[in-house]
Amino acid sequence: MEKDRNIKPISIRYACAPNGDQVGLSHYLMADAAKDREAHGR
Amino acid sequence: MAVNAHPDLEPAATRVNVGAGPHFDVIHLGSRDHVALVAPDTAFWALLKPEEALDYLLGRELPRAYLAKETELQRDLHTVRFGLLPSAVYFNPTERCNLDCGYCYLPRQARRTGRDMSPARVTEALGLLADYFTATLPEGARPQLVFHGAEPLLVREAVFAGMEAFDGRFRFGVQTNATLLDREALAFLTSKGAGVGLSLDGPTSQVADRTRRTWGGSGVFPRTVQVLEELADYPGLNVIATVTSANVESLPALVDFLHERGIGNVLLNPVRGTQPGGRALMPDQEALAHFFFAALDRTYQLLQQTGRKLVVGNFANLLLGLAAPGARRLMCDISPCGGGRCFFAVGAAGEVVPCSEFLGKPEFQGGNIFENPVAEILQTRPFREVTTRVVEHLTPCRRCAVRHFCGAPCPAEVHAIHGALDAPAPYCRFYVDQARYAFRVIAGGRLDAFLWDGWQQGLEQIAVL
Repeated sequence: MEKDRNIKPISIRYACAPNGDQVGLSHYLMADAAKDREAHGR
Repeated sequence: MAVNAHPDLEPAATRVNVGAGPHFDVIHLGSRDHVALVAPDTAFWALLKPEEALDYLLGRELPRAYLAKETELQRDLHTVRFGLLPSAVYFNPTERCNLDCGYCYLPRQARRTGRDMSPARVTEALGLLADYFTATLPEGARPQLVFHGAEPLLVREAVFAGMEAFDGRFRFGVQTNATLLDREALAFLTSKGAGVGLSLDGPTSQVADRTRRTWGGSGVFPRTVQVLEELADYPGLNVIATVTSANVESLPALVDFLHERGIGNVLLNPVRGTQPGGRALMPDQEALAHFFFAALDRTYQLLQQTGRKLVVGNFANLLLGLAAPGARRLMCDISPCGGGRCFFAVGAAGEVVPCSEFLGKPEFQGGNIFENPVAEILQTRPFREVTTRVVEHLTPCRRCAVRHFCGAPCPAEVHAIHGALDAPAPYCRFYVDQARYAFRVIAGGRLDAFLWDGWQQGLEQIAVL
């Protein structure tokens, strides 16, 4: 930066490769798929 | 003597808001601590102290750092907007319901005397869907199929036969009012690991029964709560509250009610005005914002007090839209919405529409699953109208800084109200306030408190600043 600043800006951004697991339904949030698999061994 | 470069000799690309330079909008967040600089086209944002924002905006570091990552940010957003394959279905095996909820997206007459799909037809339809997904999704992918309604357990034999026949091929779910969910049905669904979605609109009979009643006018609150308590520890449980003018003030109390019972996940969905009944119950946007945010605040207080989270899924999804657009799960608050591109809906006669919200609108049927290949249905005009509806084509959305954190939902509701798809969200002001609230959550270091545990798993950081 051109001059010192007290605090860095907050900027958070992650990318996610589409895998078909993350898409939910607008009226129905399928419980977390990983948790589902863990609970039922699927 | 040092000579400063003439400002006009700086690379054109580092000059913000002109020519080929990056474009940043400034958003007031309703707080003295931070403002947001947003590059709306890529959904990039940075939160800054207000007294430093102009220095960042007009300095060199931010534009240069942003330009170095712009293509990556753009590609990530483009993938979630245009690059996903359909992987979920709302399946409505009957039009009938044993309740008469005033806001349902199905017309009242259909819910009273409508059609059922036979067990053989349900199994046939699931076979057609399984074939379609096998041909389109990567090997090993398990698409979601949620029996929805109306009340799907009115045709329980057909639903359970379909689940049995295609066990392991789909991730199944059932959205139900719980009135027909007896011990045997619960045992079957939990043994299959199926998602169970329960509808509950308030923390007391007095509130919940205002909108959710039998045709005879009786409430079903006690039965719903009984099932809710039985399933509280079940990982596939999901609770949906439809937010209306009749229950909006009770949202914070509903949070307490659910949290006391150990529920970990709820959707607080503002009612859609797709049918006249829903339109009549749409809450005032200021009241919606006030009580919705009070409910979110309450989840945070309860987390601090007890260490237990109650995640409000639709808000959590918006936070993901800010922090990790590609990891979002719900597809209402992005444009194009998920209807017809991430999921679609099948009605009781086999008709296929982009989303269940369109089931009462014959002009949005793309075909019939028993008569037309799914792949062809998804390319028909009604589907393309929905899957090409983007905020860039809407006024005032095209110049709104939070256009990719809102998505101008919902096309079915917009069409019902305006007779066309090219209009902004009926809850526009609420969505803007929700985005500002979400930025304040992040600025306050509370992001994790509102998201599912482990939300960063599998994600890759894009570091800009």
